[in-house]
Amino acid sequence: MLALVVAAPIVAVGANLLEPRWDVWAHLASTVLGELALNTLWLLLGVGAGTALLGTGLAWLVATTEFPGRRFFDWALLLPMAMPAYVVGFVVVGLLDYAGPIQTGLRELLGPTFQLPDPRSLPMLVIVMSLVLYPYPYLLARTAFAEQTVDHMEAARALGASPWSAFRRVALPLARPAIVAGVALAMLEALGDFGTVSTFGYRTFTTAIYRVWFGMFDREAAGQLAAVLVVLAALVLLTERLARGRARFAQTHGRTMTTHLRSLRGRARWLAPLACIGVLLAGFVVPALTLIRWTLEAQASGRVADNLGSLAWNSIWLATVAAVLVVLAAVVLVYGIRLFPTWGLRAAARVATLGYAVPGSVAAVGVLLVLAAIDQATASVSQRLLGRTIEIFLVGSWISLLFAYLVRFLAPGFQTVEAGVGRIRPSLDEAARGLGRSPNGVFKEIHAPLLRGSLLTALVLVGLDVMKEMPATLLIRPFGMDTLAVEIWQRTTESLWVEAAPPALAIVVAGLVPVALLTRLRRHPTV
Amino acid sequence: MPPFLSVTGLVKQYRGSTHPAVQDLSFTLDEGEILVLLGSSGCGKSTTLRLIAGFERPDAGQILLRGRDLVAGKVPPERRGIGFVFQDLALFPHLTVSANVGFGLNTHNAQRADQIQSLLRQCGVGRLGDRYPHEISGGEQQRVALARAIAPANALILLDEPLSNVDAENRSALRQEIRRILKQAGRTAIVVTHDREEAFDLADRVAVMNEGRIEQAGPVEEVYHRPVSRTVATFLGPASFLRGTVSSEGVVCELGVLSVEAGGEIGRPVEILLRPQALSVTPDPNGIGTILGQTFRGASRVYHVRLASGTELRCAARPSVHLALNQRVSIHADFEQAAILPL
Repeated sequence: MLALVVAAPIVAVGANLLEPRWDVWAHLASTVLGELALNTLWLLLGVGAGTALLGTGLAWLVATTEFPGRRFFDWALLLPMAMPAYVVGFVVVGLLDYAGPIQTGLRELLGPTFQLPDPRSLPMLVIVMSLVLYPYPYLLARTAFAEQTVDHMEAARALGASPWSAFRRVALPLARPAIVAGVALAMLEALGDFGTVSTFGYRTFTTAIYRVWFGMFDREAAGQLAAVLVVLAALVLLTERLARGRARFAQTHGRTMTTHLRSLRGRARWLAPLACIGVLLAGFVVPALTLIRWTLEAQASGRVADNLGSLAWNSIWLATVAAVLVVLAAVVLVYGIRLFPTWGLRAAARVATLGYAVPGSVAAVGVLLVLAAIDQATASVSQRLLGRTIEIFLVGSWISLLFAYLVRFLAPGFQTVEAGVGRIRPSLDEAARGLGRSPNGVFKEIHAPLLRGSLLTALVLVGLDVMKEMPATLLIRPFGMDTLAVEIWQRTTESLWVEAAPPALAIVVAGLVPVALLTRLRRHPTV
Repeated sequence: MPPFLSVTGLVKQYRGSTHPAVQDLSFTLDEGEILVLLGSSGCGKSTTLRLIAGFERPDAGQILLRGRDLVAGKVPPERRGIGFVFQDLALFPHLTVSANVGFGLNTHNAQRADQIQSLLRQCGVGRLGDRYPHEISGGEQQRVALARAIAPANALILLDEPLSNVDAENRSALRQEIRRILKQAGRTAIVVTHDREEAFDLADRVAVMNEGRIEQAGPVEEVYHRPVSRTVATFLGPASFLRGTVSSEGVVCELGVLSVEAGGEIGRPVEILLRPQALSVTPDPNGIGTILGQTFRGASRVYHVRLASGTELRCAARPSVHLALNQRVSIHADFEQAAILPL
């Protein structure tokens, strides 16, 4: 039931596919469709390749070789996760554009005619997004490499393979499912991205939905475009499934790669940390320092928005309420499946958690379609039954926003809770039953304390995702409900980089919490 | 007086599997007895235990504990008063050793701490009360799990492969220890295992299970020496089988004549079971056996011998006896120790 409610918006958008509006398409096709499709495709391919390269390479270095600073980079390389792509995006554009400090400095050195190419380009966009999104494949590939047994590599070497070819022919294929899954996540993020691409003036389906919605107030066109995005997201997921194939590589016993690190020698010993430092500088340190500098600058010149406090407050309470809602829904779903593992319920949960693969703008459009239908239905039903029209206006209320968050972020909440519950072996339930506890008692005395950590993690993860979320918030926030992310968007569309820095810094600082949590979890694998 | 536990006609088939895990299983258990259910993996022994504990519901059959019908009464596991030691021990990771042991106690007074302490001491882990399960060794976890199961004064304790997580060198000592603790506490127990050593060390009575049924039950020695089938015989230890025929003097086989009353008509083929220790070999150029190989066992040596007919035998010898490969030997069989199986 709950699963159905959550799945409804996605289904509503999907239903748009069933009744294509040819007139809308004809218009789109004659204008921007080709450009949108090509742009989106290039972006996806670029980010896919970039994150695969960065994520796999860094993961291999950190998980299987020993070099100075390895332990530090092991967790530090997750830091870019705290940076929303749109923040790094506007920082890079701000630093590199014609009026930015770098070009200004170079002009002073080299004469006033000197000019760098415009940073608002596809290659730069791909680099920026790859720098921020590589932690997805990094995280998954790192674990996959670390859990491989050395035996396989040694067997390959004994059969005459060089270290490089052993990596290519044994380690890489073994880690492939993890890498592909990570890259797919990164590509889905790129597909749904709104802030970065708008800063770069790069038109994709996501920006098109926004323009159609607000610029032309054309819901049908927005619905059609959203449906295309759903298809693209489904394609990414399908590719991931196909690439994974029937591969299930489980091998956790024995001597693992992490216990037998290969020491790097010679030049490699210094190149490895340099590569890590480079990625970290570009993906985290430079943007963070720039944000701090700009924030100080804004403060000195009195350009900090005076409603920053209320913006932060809006962000925080929205995030909190949404997170609690999502985690509650996740707990209900997870226990529903654990107690009644029927085919139907599992399928429902699968659909309900599709939201994560679906870009925020699509979730927003879907929610609006559903709620508008409910609004209309109540209005017409009350008209018929009571003789007067009751307008409930779900559209544009904060309920619609919370609903959109629920749709979009149920998946990470569900997965975290499910993993937590999955770690509770069924024998613990049975042991408690055997020692005289009722099913309720089992939940209170065994599950509640054991799940505390997972629930907290889920709350924090979802809360921060909500805080960072931009397109859905922009599309359906109630009038006047501005958040930090909305403020960043508004400033960056006016190219006011310095003014955008304070709210961005706030989001980045908040974003460090789940990263810290993640590293802590990785160090102390829970009981 | 009715038996302490009586299981009759138990049937359980898991959804999606073609064969029932347990089919028409019956046995009884006296108070204070330790029964070992022995069998290979997938023979239904763990399922039997879970049915008795109430974690699974049988498709048919009756389970009477002290005359109370647990199946018809739909008694949930928490009301059965049965202690369970899990294969993975299932110690609660968020609770200390003391809290784990005290989990099933419903006393809330000053005695509680003493009670827990004395249980821990009884199980040889008196000083570990404040530790968490992950801070103690596998053997210690094992003892804590047992202490937790016997804490609520459950008369019946079920142990599911309790020693699978303990390393081999500690296993034997721990088996003796478990038997001592169970006997001292006066509990009745069913132990499920695939390890015959465990059956030898723990059991008053052993029941060998195969394909969801009990194939033979009885005192360990009886089942060892008088197995009813080849499966049971090989499950309890290394064994050789020899073809024989019933004759007027007894049973005739390649190694001689057993003067036993085998029953049945003359000429009926039977199988003779011989344990390695019932067979001895001596070098003899005209002997009927050829040495195929040997296994050194420390305290003994087992020679693999092939007879003229092609039958292979396992014969025990002292470690000091050295026989070369392909050497001819004569074989002496102590038919007193032989058992006749129907063919």
